[in-house]
Amino acid sequence: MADLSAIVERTVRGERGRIVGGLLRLCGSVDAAEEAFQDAALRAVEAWQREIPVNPGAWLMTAAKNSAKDARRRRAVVEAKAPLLASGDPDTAETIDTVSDDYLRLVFTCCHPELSTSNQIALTLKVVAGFSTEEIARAFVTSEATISQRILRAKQTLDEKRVAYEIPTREELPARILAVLGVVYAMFNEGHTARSGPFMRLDLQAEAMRLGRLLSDHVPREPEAFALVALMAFSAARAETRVDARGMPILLAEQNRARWNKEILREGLMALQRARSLGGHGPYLLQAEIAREHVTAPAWESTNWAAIVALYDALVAVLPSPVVALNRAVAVAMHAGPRAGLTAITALAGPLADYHLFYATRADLLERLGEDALPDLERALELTTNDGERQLLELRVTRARARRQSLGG
Amino acid sequence: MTEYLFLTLEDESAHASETPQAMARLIEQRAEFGAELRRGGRLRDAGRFRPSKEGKRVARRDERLDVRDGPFSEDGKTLGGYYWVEASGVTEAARLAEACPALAPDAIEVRPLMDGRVSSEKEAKPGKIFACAVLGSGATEAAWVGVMDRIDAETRGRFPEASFLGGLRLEAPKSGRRLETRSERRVTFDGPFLECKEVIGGLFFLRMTTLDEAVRWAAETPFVVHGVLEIRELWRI
Repeated sequence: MADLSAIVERTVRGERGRIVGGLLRLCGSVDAAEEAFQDAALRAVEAWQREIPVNPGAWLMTAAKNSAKDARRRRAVVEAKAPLLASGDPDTAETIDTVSDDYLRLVFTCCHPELSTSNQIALTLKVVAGFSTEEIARAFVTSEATISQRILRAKQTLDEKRVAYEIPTREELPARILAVLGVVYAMFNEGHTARSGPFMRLDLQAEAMRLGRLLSDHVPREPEAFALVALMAFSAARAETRVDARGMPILLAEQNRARWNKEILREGLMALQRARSLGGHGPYLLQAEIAREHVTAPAWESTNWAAIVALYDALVAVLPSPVVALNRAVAVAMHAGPRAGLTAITALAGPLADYHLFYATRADLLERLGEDALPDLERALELTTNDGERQLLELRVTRARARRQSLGG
Repeated sequence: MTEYLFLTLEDESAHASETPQAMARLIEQRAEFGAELRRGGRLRDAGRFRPSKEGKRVARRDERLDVRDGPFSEDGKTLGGYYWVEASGVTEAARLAEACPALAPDAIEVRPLMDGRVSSEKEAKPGKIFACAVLGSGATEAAWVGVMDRIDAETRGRFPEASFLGGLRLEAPKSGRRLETRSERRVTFDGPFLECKEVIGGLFFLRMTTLDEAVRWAAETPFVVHGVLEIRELWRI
């Protein structure tokens, strides 16, 4: 029955986050909650062959709770002492609000500020999204052992720091939501820079977008959650046009705008509108507004650079990072000329001394002024770790050398 | 003051082929249209439907539940969005609807409301919001009204309290107007619209985690015996 495995897979995948989240307090640890869920999923494969339940999600939840209770009883017998029980009657009726709380509890746990970003991402992919360590390892182009280690360490940290499996209080909530959004965006960017590689691997970008959308369903009054969905959508819509057949990056200026994915763009525009109507003004909203200017410009030449510079000014004020300042300088150069861009970039030479895009950007501005860019291009080439970018920079270095020679330098 | 529902019936393929800048402009104009109505104290609620290919239609044929996947269209038109507004009468309502942003192939139905109640927290609570459009067919208006009455009576109190966000029941279609663009001009037609296969009798709103869950609840209500339910997720706006 092909239908059955599809139903099992969809239910297990779709309900995983909220069920494991619901089991957290009952089980007292992420491991035990995952185990109970796994057990219920296995039982579903067998039981549903006889009859598919009317409400597969509720069936799984009940089975997982029973399995958790069995496991606890066994442990209690072995340890011959009363189990330390977390509060909360496991049989209380579920409403959409408790379901939402369960899901958020798990996400907040996996994105806990006590964990490093790479551990947060690995744990979220494993526990919330249900990917295998093998799939995660392939997505990060690393070994399974590395990922297993990360997940293990993350779980140990949660235990050692005695992280409570609770939804943050009203006071903590905004900062904790930002932390979760940061994990989702880091996951998205990880997928963005490392897109090549074997097929049949977990698509980090798609997973980040799915998590972002789900998260915005659960915190529907948080403008930054919707702004992040918009920001990711505006980037994902251009994915197909960003690299050429040989894997070389195609700059925004040269991308085929007709091939941008309009369905994903609409997703982004609607999410952006929601973020605006919630009165947002945070860093994700500003970045989404900048991306919106780019994706709605009919051509590179007709981009509204004045608007983009103004948005970057606001962004630098709330997110004072040298990388943001570098991007601002690029916009300044487009708006007011390469000389103005160079002026804006000068102060960044120190903080971005090891950042290849600083040199690539300065080289670009120098070339536009007809000046020698070779040293900057060579430095950028030295620093880049991305294959596609390396190819592109090699090409530019060759051209700059030829130019230098023809000038008799 | 009387209450009306503006329903935009849209050509999804025309919308899909818009340029990104036209798409953005329309989305922003719609937000402004809603904000303007709100500022004038005219707007009670509004909503936008996600693409119909993501939706489902549920009907009960004999004892079997018939669930069909989207996309759905009636004469090439699909439910795109709604505004619940107050106006002094149908003429003023139609005049307000004239300003509703739409593409040339779209139509706008202006239908008087029989009664309505939508939670003020519709957009604010967690979960996905699903709109269920009740579609009925009937050879005569009396038959159509009879179907809608039964649906109304049988739906009441059927949904879990936490998930039900309210509903809007429309008057019979003959009292409505329809705005269409003909040779670049907007033209108004009077009802009835019973010549269409399925005429919308109302909307109700559910808060659920998944579409499957919404379909399950819909399937448990007896009313689908009489008509068709089109279940569509709403964008948060």
